[in-house]
Amino acid sequence: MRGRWCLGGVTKTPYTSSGASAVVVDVKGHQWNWEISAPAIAVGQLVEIRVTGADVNHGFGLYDANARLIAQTQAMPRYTNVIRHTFTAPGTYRVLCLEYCGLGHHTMFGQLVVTERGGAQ
Amino acid sequence: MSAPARVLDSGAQFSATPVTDTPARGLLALYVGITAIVLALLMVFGLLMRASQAGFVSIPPNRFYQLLTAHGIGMVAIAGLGGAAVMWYFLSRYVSLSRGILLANLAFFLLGVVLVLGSIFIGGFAAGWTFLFPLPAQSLGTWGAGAAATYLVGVLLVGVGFLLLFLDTTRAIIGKYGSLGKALGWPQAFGNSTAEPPPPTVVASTVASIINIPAIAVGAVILTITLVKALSP
Repeated sequence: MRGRWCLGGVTKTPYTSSGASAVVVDVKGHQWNWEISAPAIAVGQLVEIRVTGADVNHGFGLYDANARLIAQTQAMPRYTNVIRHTFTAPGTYRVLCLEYCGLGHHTMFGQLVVTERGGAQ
Repeated sequence: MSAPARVLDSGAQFSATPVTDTPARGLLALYVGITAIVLALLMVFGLLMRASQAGFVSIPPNRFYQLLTAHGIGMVAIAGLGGAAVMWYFLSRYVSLSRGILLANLAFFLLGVVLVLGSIFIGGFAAGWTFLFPLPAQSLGTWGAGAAATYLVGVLLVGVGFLLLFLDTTRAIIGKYGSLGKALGWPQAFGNSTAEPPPPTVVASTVASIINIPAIAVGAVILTITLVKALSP
């Protein structure tokens, strides 16, 4: 709602709620790993990814199997950024850090697994 | 009947006095010489990082990120130093600038560079040139508070030098033209003045001074907050 207010009533953005119930994924960036809750995610399901940082600023970058960036936001301490996304293909999606966060920055890998409707990957 | 349009082209003539006094020319030559040397060094740092990514050389992560930090902050700072020399050279043809301030800026710059390089390659500081808060103060033990503080003070000193320089250019410009608006040619652009507008060098230098003074001041506030965080986390 706040996002909609800030954008002056623009509704077709990734920041507005569709009204549908979403699967919530909690993501917390640490020096130097991702803490990601792992609910079952299926293709076509609205997913709400809540991203925050435990210590310093990190960058949550979500990549598909072709190493193409499909979503990103800052992982900031004491603040939660929300991404709403609907996956269109099953598979293992990699999470990399996009904000330099110290000497282990390049070792921050995580993943989200998305299955076909009904459970098969 | 409307007034004829004012046309300014590259052939416009302005009264300009070449920089002829030897001390200022020597100082400016020093500025340019240091800029060239540091630029070459930082290009080597950049090549080393690229060679590491390509697998041609093996650089451990801590050293890689030290190079990353030095390359980034160095390129920003040296672009500022070289740019300041160019601006001073041309602006001094139109207004009376202080050679003492020009020297002070170089001294602050060199002192800052020594502290920054020491903090990186001796202290192990590697928070990137952006030193994004609160990373300098939270390295997970990979560099100490002393290294972070040395880096931040070094950058602060570089900023102090540039602040002095741009305060001096602002002083000299206002002294000659009366106000920043007049130095920007606003009476000619937006008013009815038919007087000769300031030369492009003065307009550009005025814009640079107006932007740089508050930008440096804001940078100093961020550096100070980060410094306090580093020393008392």
